[in-house]
Amino acid sequence: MLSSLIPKRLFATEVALFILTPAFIYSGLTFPLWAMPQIHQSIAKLIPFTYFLSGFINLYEMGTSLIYLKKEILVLSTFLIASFIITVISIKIRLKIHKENSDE
Amino acid sequence: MNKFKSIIKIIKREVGWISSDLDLAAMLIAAPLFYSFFYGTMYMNKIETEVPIAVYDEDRSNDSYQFVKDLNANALINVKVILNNPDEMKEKLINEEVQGVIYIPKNFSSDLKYNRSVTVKTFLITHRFLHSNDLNKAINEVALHKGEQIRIQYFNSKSFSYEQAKELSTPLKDDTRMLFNPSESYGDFLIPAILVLVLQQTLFMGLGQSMAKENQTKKFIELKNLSANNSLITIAGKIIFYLTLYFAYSILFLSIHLSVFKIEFKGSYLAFLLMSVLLIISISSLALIIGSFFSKKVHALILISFTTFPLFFFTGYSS
Repeated sequence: MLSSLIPKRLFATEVALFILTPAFIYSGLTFPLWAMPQIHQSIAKLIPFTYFLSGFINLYEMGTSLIYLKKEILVLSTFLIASFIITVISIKIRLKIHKENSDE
Repeated sequence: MNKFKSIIKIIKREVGWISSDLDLAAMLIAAPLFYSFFYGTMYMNKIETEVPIAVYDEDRSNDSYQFVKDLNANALINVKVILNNPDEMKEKLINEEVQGVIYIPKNFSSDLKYNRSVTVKTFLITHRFLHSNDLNKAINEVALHKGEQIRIQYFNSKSFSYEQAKELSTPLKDDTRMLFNPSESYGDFLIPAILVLVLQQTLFMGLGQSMAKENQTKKFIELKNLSANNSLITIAGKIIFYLTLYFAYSILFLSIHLSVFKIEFKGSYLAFLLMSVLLIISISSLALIIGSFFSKKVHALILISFTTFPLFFFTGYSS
Protein backbone atom coordinates (compact mmCIF):
# COMPACT_ATOMS: atom_id res chain seq x y z
CA MET A 1 0.00 0.00 0.00
CA LEU A 2 2.77 2.42 0.98
CA SER A 3 4.77 1.73 -2.17
CA SER A 4 1.70 2.31 -4.33
CA LEU A 5 0.90 5.59 -2.57
CA ILE A 6 4.44 7.00 -2.48
CA PRO A 7 6.20 7.14 -5.84
CA LYS A 8 9.73 7.83 -4.49
CA ARG A 9 11.42 4.65 -3.25
CA LEU A 10 13.59 6.38 -0.67
CA PHE A 11 10.69 8.33 0.80
CA ALA A 12 8.55 5.16 0.90
CA THR A 13 11.38 3.42 2.79
CA GLU A 14 11.59 6.28 5.26
CA VAL A 15 7.82 6.23 5.86
CA ALA A 16 7.88 2.44 6.28
CA LEU A 17 10.68 2.79 8.82
CA PHE A 18 8.71 5.45 10.65
CA ILE A 19 5.70 3.15 10.93
CA LEU A 20 7.47 -0.12 11.62
CA THR A 21 10.10 0.97 14.15
CA PRO A 22 7.68 1.81 16.96
CA ALA A 23 5.47 -1.22 16.20
CA PHE A 24 7.37 -3.41 18.65
CA ILE A 25 7.00 -0.90 21.48
CA TYR A 26 3.33 -0.38 20.64
CA SER A 27 2.68 -4.10 20.84
CA GLY A 28 2.74 -3.57 24.62
CA LEU A 29 5.27 -6.35 25.02
CA THR A 30 7.93 -4.21 26.69
CA PHE A 31 5.82 -1.55 28.39
CA PRO A 32 2.05 -1.73 28.91
CA LEU A 33 -0.05 0.24 26.48
CA TRP A 34 -2.40 1.41 29.21
CA ALA A 35 0.53 3.11 30.94
CA MET A 36 1.28 5.18 27.82
CA PRO A 37 -0.35 8.57 27.10
CA GLN A 38 -3.69 8.38 25.27
CA ILE A 39 -2.25 9.57 21.94
CA HIS A 40 0.18 6.63 21.82
CA GLN A 41 -2.61 4.20 22.73
CA SER A 42 -4.61 5.53 19.77
CA ILE A 43 -1.64 5.21 17.37
CA ALA A 44 -1.02 1.64 18.59
CA LYS A 45 -4.56 0.73 17.56
CA LEU A 46 -3.74 1.73 13.97
CA ILE A 47 -0.85 -0.76 13.67
CA PRO A 48 -1.74 -4.33 12.57
CA PHE A 49 1.30 -5.77 14.40
CA THR A 50 -0.31 -4.85 17.76
CA TYR A 51 -3.25 -7.17 17.08
CA PHE A 52 -1.19 -9.88 15.46
CA LEU A 53 1.21 -10.10 18.39
CA SER A 54 -1.64 -10.17 20.89
CA GLY A 55 -3.27 -13.08 19.03
CA PHE A 56 0.06 -14.80 18.48
CA ILE A 57 0.89 -14.73 22.20
CA ASN A 58 -2.55 -16.13 22.99
CA LEU A 59 -1.90 -18.97 20.57
CA TYR A 60 1.65 -19.98 21.38
CA GLU A 61 1.77 -19.29 25.10
CA MET A 62 -1.79 -19.73 26.27
CA GLY A 63 -2.73 -22.40 23.75
CA THR A 64 -6.08 -20.77 23.08
CA SER A 65 -8.47 -21.75 20.33
CA LEU A 66 -9.70 -19.63 17.45
CA ILE A 67 -12.78 -18.52 19.37
CA TYR A 68 -10.63 -16.38 21.66
CA LEU A 69 -9.03 -14.61 18.70
CA LYS A 70 -12.27 -13.09 17.38
CA LYS A 71 -11.20 -9.50 18.02
CA GLU A 72 -7.72 -9.90 16.50
CA ILE A 73 -9.04 -11.71 13.41
CA LEU A 74 -11.76 -9.12 12.90
CA VAL A 75 -9.37 -6.17 13.18
CA LEU A 76 -6.68 -7.77 10.97
CA SER A 77 -9.35 -8.58 8.36
CA THR A 78 -10.48 -4.95 8.42
CA PHE A 79 -6.87 -3.84 7.93
CA LEU A 80 -6.52 -6.29 5.05
CA ILE A 81 -9.69 -5.14 3.27
CA ALA A 82 -8.96 -1.44 3.77
CA SER A 83 -5.33 -1.65 2.63
CA PHE A 84 -6.27 -3.85 -0.34
CA ILE A 85 -8.92 -1.38 -1.51
CA ILE A 86 -6.55 1.59 -1.11
CA THR A 87 -3.80 -0.29 -2.99
CA VAL A 88 -6.11 -1.20 -5.88
CA ILE A 89 -7.38 2.39 -6.20
CA SER A 90 -3.86 3.82 -5.94
CA ILE A 91 -2.43 1.45 -8.58
CA LYS A 92 -5.38 2.15 -10.91
CA ILE A 93 -4.74 5.89 -10.63
CA ARG A 94 -1.01 5.44 -11.24
CA LEU A 95 -1.63 3.20 -14.26
CA LYS A 96 -4.03 5.79 -15.65
CA ILE A 97 -1.47 8.58 -15.18
CA HIS A 98 1.19 6.41 -16.78
CA LYS A 99 -1.08 5.65 -19.76
CA GLU A 100 -1.94 9.35 -20.22
CA ASN A 101 1.75 10.25 -20.12
CA SER A 102 2.68 7.61 -22.68
CA ASP A 103 -0.24 8.66 -24.95
CA GLU A 104 1.07 12.20 -24.93
CA MET B 1 45.67 27.64 5.60
CA ASN B 2 44.71 25.95 2.33
CA LYS B 3 43.80 22.84 4.24
CA PHE B 4 41.53 24.85 6.52
CA LYS B 5 39.85 26.46 3.48
CA SER B 6 39.35 23.03 1.93
CA ILE B 7 37.65 21.78 5.08
CA ILE B 8 35.38 24.86 5.13
CA LYS B 9 34.47 24.25 1.48
CA ILE B 10 33.54 20.63 2.17
CA ILE B 11 31.47 21.70 5.19
CA LYS B 12 29.65 24.30 3.07
CA ARG B 13 29.04 21.67 0.40
CA GLU B 14 27.60 19.32 3.05
CA VAL B 15 25.27 22.07 4.37
CA GLY B 16 24.17 22.76 0.80
CA TRP B 17 23.40 19.10 0.23
CA ILE B 18 21.30 18.85 3.38
CA SER B 19 19.36 22.01 2.67
CA SER B 20 18.57 20.95 -0.89
CA ASP B 21 17.99 17.22 -0.29
CA LEU B 22 14.71 16.51 1.48
CA ASP B 23 15.71 12.95 2.40
CA LEU B 24 18.86 14.10 4.18
CA ALA B 25 17.11 17.04 5.83
CA ALA B 26 14.33 14.74 7.09
CA MET B 27 16.81 12.26 8.54
CA LEU B 28 19.27 14.74 10.06
CA ILE B 29 17.06 17.64 11.14
CA ALA B 30 13.45 16.49 11.50
CA ALA B 31 13.98 12.89 12.66
CA PRO B 32 16.18 13.55 15.74
CA LEU B 33 13.84 16.26 17.02
CA PHE B 34 10.63 14.38 16.25
CA TYR B 35 11.71 10.88 17.30
CA SER B 36 13.27 12.05 20.56
CA PHE B 37 9.94 13.50 21.70
CA PHE B 38 7.81 10.82 20.03
CA TYR B 39 9.61 7.88 21.68
CA GLY B 40 10.25 9.75 24.91
CA THR B 41 6.57 10.50 25.46
CA MET B 42 5.73 6.79 25.14
CA TYR B 43 7.42 6.24 28.50
CA MET B 44 6.44 9.60 29.94
CA ASN B 45 4.23 8.07 32.64
CA LYS B 46 7.35 6.11 33.64
CA ILE B 47 5.70 3.51 35.84
CA GLU B 48 2.59 1.46 35.43
CA THR B 49 -0.22 1.98 37.90
CA GLU B 50 -3.68 0.53 38.32
CA VAL B 51 -2.91 -2.83 36.72
CA PRO B 52 -6.32 -4.46 36.27
CA ILE B 53 -7.05 -7.64 38.22
CA ALA B 54 -10.16 -9.68 39.02
CA VAL B 55 -11.11 -11.14 42.38
CA TYR B 56 -13.13 -14.25 43.00
CA ASP B 57 -14.26 -13.98 46.61
CA GLU B 58 -15.77 -17.26 47.70
CA ASP B 59 -15.91 -16.19 51.35
CA ARG B 60 -17.86 -12.96 50.93
CA SER B 61 -17.15 -11.95 54.52
CA ASN B 62 -16.24 -8.60 56.03
CA ASP B 63 -12.61 -9.74 56.30
CA SER B 64 -12.38 -10.77 52.66
CA TYR B 65 -14.14 -7.54 51.63
CA GLN B 66 -11.56 -5.56 53.63
CA PHE B 67 -8.73 -7.55 52.01
CA VAL B 68 -10.06 -6.68 48.53
CA LYS B 69 -10.34 -3.05 49.62
CA ASP B 70 -6.70 -3.12 50.79
CA LEU B 71 -5.65 -4.57 47.44
CA ASN B 72 -7.53 -1.87 45.55
CA ALA B 73 -5.94 0.83 47.73
CA ASN B 74 -2.49 -0.15 46.44
CA ALA B 75 -1.42 2.23 43.63
CA LEU B 76 -0.35 -0.66 41.41
CA ILE B 77 -3.59 -2.62 41.67
CA ASN B 78 -6.97 -1.91 40.18
CA VAL B 79 -9.61 -4.45 41.20
CA LYS B 80 -11.55 -4.19 37.97
CA VAL B 81 -13.97 -7.08 38.33
CA ILE B 82 -15.44 -9.09 41.15
CA LEU B 83 -16.21 -12.48 39.63
CA ASN B 84 -19.36 -14.35 40.51
CA ASN B 85 -18.27 -17.59 38.96
CA PRO B 86 -14.81 -19.24 38.82
CA ASP B 87 -15.47 -20.18 35.19
CA GLU B 88 -15.19 -16.48 34.25
CA MET B 89 -11.53 -16.49 35.30
CA LYS B 90 -10.23 -18.18 32.15
CA GLU B 91 -12.05 -15.85 29.79
CA LYS B 92 -10.96 -12.69 31.61
CA LEU B 93 -7.33 -13.84 31.59
CA ILE B 94 -7.22 -15.01 27.98
CA ASN B 95 -8.90 -11.83 26.74
CA GLU B 96 -6.39 -9.94 28.91
CA GLU B 97 -9.18 -7.87 30.42
CA VAL B 98 -7.25 -8.43 33.62
CA GLN B 99 -3.60 -9.32 34.25
CA GLY B 100 -4.34 -11.55 37.22
CA VAL B 101 -7.04 -13.16 39.33
CA ILE B 102 -7.06 -13.44 43.12
CA TYR B 103 -8.98 -16.32 44.58
CA ILE B 104 -10.10 -15.90 48.20
CA PRO B 105 -11.21 -19.27 49.65
CA LYS B 106 -14.48 -19.86 51.46
CA ASN B 107 -12.93 -20.33 54.91
CA PHE B 108 -10.87 -17.09 54.72
CA SER B 109 -12.53 -15.26 57.59
CA SER B 110 -13.15 -18.23 59.89
CA ASP B 111 -9.60 -19.58 59.53
CA LEU B 112 -8.11 -16.17 60.29
CA LYS B 113 -10.39 -15.87 63.31
CA TYR B 114 -9.02 -19.16 64.75
CA ASN B 115 -5.43 -18.26 63.78
CA ARG B 116 -5.25 -20.92 61.13
CA SER B 117 -3.21 -20.38 57.99
CA VAL B 118 -5.17 -19.34 54.90
CA THR B 119 -3.97 -19.61 51.31
CA VAL B 120 -5.06 -16.87 48.92
CA LYS B 121 -4.34 -18.03 45.39
CA THR B 122 -3.08 -15.60 42.77
CA PHE B 123 -3.12 -16.37 39.06
CA LEU B 124 -0.92 -14.04 37.05
CA ILE B 125 -0.32 -13.69 33.33
CA THR B 126 3.45 -13.89 33.27
CA HIS B 127 4.23 -13.48 29.58
CA ARG B 128 4.54 -9.73 30.11
CA PHE B 129 7.12 -9.74 32.86
CA LEU B 130 6.65 -6.16 33.91
CA HIS B 131 2.97 -6.50 34.87
CA SER B 132 3.31 -9.82 36.63
CA ASN B 133 6.38 -8.74 38.61
CA ASP B 134 4.72 -5.50 39.67
CA LEU B 135 1.48 -7.25 40.58
CA ASN B 136 3.25 -10.02 42.43
CA LYS B 137 5.17 -7.46 44.47
CA ALA B 138 2.08 -5.38 45.24
CA ILE B 139 -0.07 -8.38 46.22
CA ASN B 140 2.71 -9.68 48.47
CA GLU B 141 2.98 -6.27 50.15
CA VAL B 142 -0.76 -6.23 50.88
CA ALA B 143 -0.74 -9.85 52.11
CA LEU B 144 2.31 -9.26 54.34
CA HIS B 145 0.71 -6.18 55.82
CA LYS B 146 -2.51 -8.10 56.48
CA GLY B 147 -0.50 -10.93 58.08
CA GLU B 148 1.28 -8.44 60.32
CA GLN B 149 -2.03 -6.91 61.42
CA ILE B 150 -3.38 -10.35 62.30
CA ARG B 151 -0.29 -11.17 64.37
CA ILE B 152 -0.51 -7.82 66.17
CA GLN B 153 -4.16 -8.55 66.99
CA TYR B 154 -3.18 -11.97 68.31
CA PHE B 155 -0.44 -10.60 70.60
CA ASN B 156 -2.75 -7.81 71.72
CA SER B 157 -5.26 -10.43 72.77
CA LYS B 158 -2.48 -12.01 74.88
CA SER B 159 -2.18 -8.77 76.89
CA PHE B 160 0.87 -7.36 75.09
CA SER B 161 0.90 -3.63 74.40
CA TYR B 162 0.56 -2.46 70.79
CA GLU B 163 4.28 -1.63 70.55
CA GLN B 164 5.27 -5.02 72.02
CA ALA B 165 2.81 -6.77 69.72
CA LYS B 166 4.27 -4.94 66.74
CA GLU B 167 7.79 -5.99 67.72
CA LEU B 168 6.75 -9.60 68.22
CA SER B 169 4.77 -9.74 64.98
CA THR B 170 7.84 -8.99 62.84
CA PRO B 171 10.93 -10.21 64.70
CA LEU B 172 12.99 -10.13 61.49
CA LYS B 173 12.75 -6.92 59.54
CA ASP B 174 14.34 -6.25 56.20
CA ASP B 175 15.64 -2.86 55.22
CA THR B 176 16.06 -2.73 51.46
CA ARG B 177 17.50 0.45 49.96
CA MET B 178 16.80 1.11 46.29
CA LEU B 179 19.92 2.56 44.72
CA PHE B 180 20.21 4.77 41.60
CA ASN B 181 16.60 4.30 40.42
CA PRO B 182 14.73 4.33 43.73
CA SER B 183 11.24 4.50 42.23
CA GLU B 184 12.13 1.55 39.94
CA SER B 185 10.83 3.67 37.11
CA TYR B 186 10.86 2.07 33.68
CA GLY B 187 10.77 5.51 32.05
CA ASP B 188 13.74 6.89 33.98
CA PHE B 189 15.70 3.82 32.89
CA LEU B 190 14.67 3.69 29.25
CA ILE B 191 14.15 7.29 28.08
CA PRO B 192 17.86 8.33 28.22
CA ALA B 193 18.84 5.18 26.30
CA ILE B 194 16.21 5.89 23.65
CA LEU B 195 17.42 9.48 23.27
CA VAL B 196 20.97 8.26 22.68
CA LEU B 197 19.72 5.61 20.25
CA VAL B 198 17.80 8.27 18.28
CA LEU B 199 20.93 10.40 18.20
CA GLN B 200 23.09 7.54 17.02
CA GLN B 201 20.77 6.00 14.42
CA THR B 202 19.72 9.24 12.72
CA LEU B 203 23.39 10.23 12.43
CA PHE B 204 24.29 6.77 11.16
CA MET B 205 21.49 6.78 8.56
CA GLY B 206 21.92 10.44 7.57
CA LEU B 207 25.67 10.45 7.09
CA GLY B 208 25.56 6.95 5.57
CA GLN B 209 23.11 8.28 2.97
CA SER B 210 25.24 11.38 2.37
CA MET B 211 28.26 9.17 1.65
CA ALA B 212 26.22 6.90 -0.64
CA LYS B 213 25.01 10.04 -2.43
CA GLU B 214 28.64 10.78 -3.38
CA ASN B 215 28.61 7.52 -5.33
CA GLN B 216 25.02 7.86 -6.58
CA THR B 217 25.59 11.35 -8.07
CA LYS B 218 29.19 10.53 -9.04
CA LYS B 219 30.39 13.52 -7.00
CA PHE B 220 33.23 11.72 -5.29
CA ILE B 221 35.67 13.28 -7.71
CA GLU B 222 34.43 16.71 -6.63
CA LEU B 223 35.18 15.80 -3.02
CA LYS B 224 38.58 14.54 -4.06
CA ASN B 225 39.37 17.84 -5.80
CA LEU B 226 38.11 19.94 -2.90
CA SER B 227 40.35 18.10 -0.47
CA ALA B 228 43.32 18.11 -2.85
CA ASN B 229 43.31 14.33 -2.67
CA ASN B 230 43.88 14.43 1.09
CA SER B 231 41.83 11.76 2.85
CA LEU B 232 42.14 13.39 6.29
CA ILE B 233 40.71 16.65 4.94
CA THR B 234 37.90 14.72 3.26
CA ILE B 235 37.01 12.94 6.50
CA ALA B 236 37.34 16.10 8.60
CA GLY B 237 35.21 18.12 6.18
CA LYS B 238 32.54 15.46 6.09
CA ILE B 239 32.48 14.88 9.86
CA ILE B 240 32.88 18.37 11.36
CA PHE B 241 29.44 19.58 10.33
CA TYR B 242 27.77 16.46 11.78
CA LEU B 243 29.87 16.70 14.92
CA THR B 244 28.68 20.29 15.45
CA LEU B 245 25.05 19.44 14.69
CA TYR B 246 24.91 16.34 16.87
CA PHE B 247 26.86 17.99 19.68
CA ALA B 248 24.13 20.64 19.67
CA TYR B 249 21.52 17.85 19.83
CA SER B 250 23.38 16.32 22.80
CA ILE B 251 23.18 19.62 24.66
CA LEU B 252 19.52 19.98 23.69
CA PHE B 253 18.67 16.47 24.95
CA LEU B 254 20.58 17.07 28.15
CA SER B 255 19.01 20.43 28.90
CA ILE B 256 15.51 20.33 27.38
CA HIS B 257 14.52 16.70 26.94
CA LEU B 258 15.64 15.46 30.35
CA SER B 259 13.88 18.40 31.93
CA VAL B 260 10.64 17.78 29.95
CA PHE B 261 10.69 14.09 30.89
CA LYS B 262 11.59 14.99 34.50
CA ILE B 263 14.76 12.92 34.53
CA GLU B 264 17.47 13.98 36.92
CA PHE B 265 21.00 13.97 35.51
CA LYS B 266 23.26 13.20 38.45
CA GLY B 267 26.70 12.96 36.82
CA SER B 268 29.24 15.34 35.36
CA TYR B 269 28.02 17.37 32.37
CA LEU B 270 31.55 17.65 31.05
CA ALA B 271 32.02 13.88 31.08
CA PHE B 272 28.71 13.46 29.23
CA LEU B 273 29.71 15.95 26.55
CA LEU B 274 33.11 14.34 26.15
CA MET B 275 31.52 10.93 25.74
CA SER B 276 29.00 12.38 23.25
CA VAL B 277 31.85 13.76 21.11
CA LEU B 278 33.55 10.35 21.13
CA LEU B 279 30.30 8.60 20.17
CA ILE B 280 29.50 11.09 17.39
CA ILE B 281 32.97 10.78 15.83
CA SER B 282 32.92 6.97 16.07
CA ILE B 283 29.47 6.69 14.50
CA SER B 284 30.34 9.25 11.83
CA SER B 285 33.44 7.28 10.84
CA LEU B 286 31.42 4.08 10.72
CA ALA B 287 28.72 5.78 8.63
CA LEU B 288 31.37 7.03 6.17
CA ILE B 289 32.80 3.52 5.79
CA ILE B 290 29.41 1.77 5.41
CA GLY B 291 27.95 4.51 3.19
CA SER B 292 30.91 4.41 0.82
CA PHE B 293 30.09 0.81 -0.14
CA PHE B 294 26.69 1.78 -1.58
CA SER B 295 25.92 3.34 -4.90
CA LYS B 296 22.39 4.32 -3.87
CA LYS B 297 21.13 6.25 -0.85
CA VAL B 298 18.16 3.95 -0.37
CA HIS B 299 20.38 0.87 -0.08
CA ALA B 300 22.52 2.53 2.60
CA LEU B 301 19.36 3.56 4.46
CA ILE B 302 17.88 0.06 4.37
CA LEU B 303 21.05 -1.65 5.58
CA ILE B 304 21.73 0.83 8.37
CA SER B 305 18.09 0.77 9.52
CA PHE B 306 18.44 -3.00 9.99
CA THR B 307 20.99 -2.29 12.71
CA THR B 308 18.59 -0.32 14.92
CA PHE B 309 17.05 -3.17 16.90
CA PRO B 310 20.16 -5.36 17.08
CA LEU B 311 22.26 -2.43 18.33
CA PHE B 312 19.72 -1.71 21.04
CA PHE B 313 19.60 -5.34 22.15
CA PHE B 314 23.39 -5.69 22.04
CA THR B 315 23.78 -2.86 24.53
CA GLY B 316 22.19 -5.11 27.13
CA TYR B 317 19.78 -2.33 28.02
CA SER B 318 16.65 -4.31 27.23
CA SER B 319 17.20 -7.00 29.84
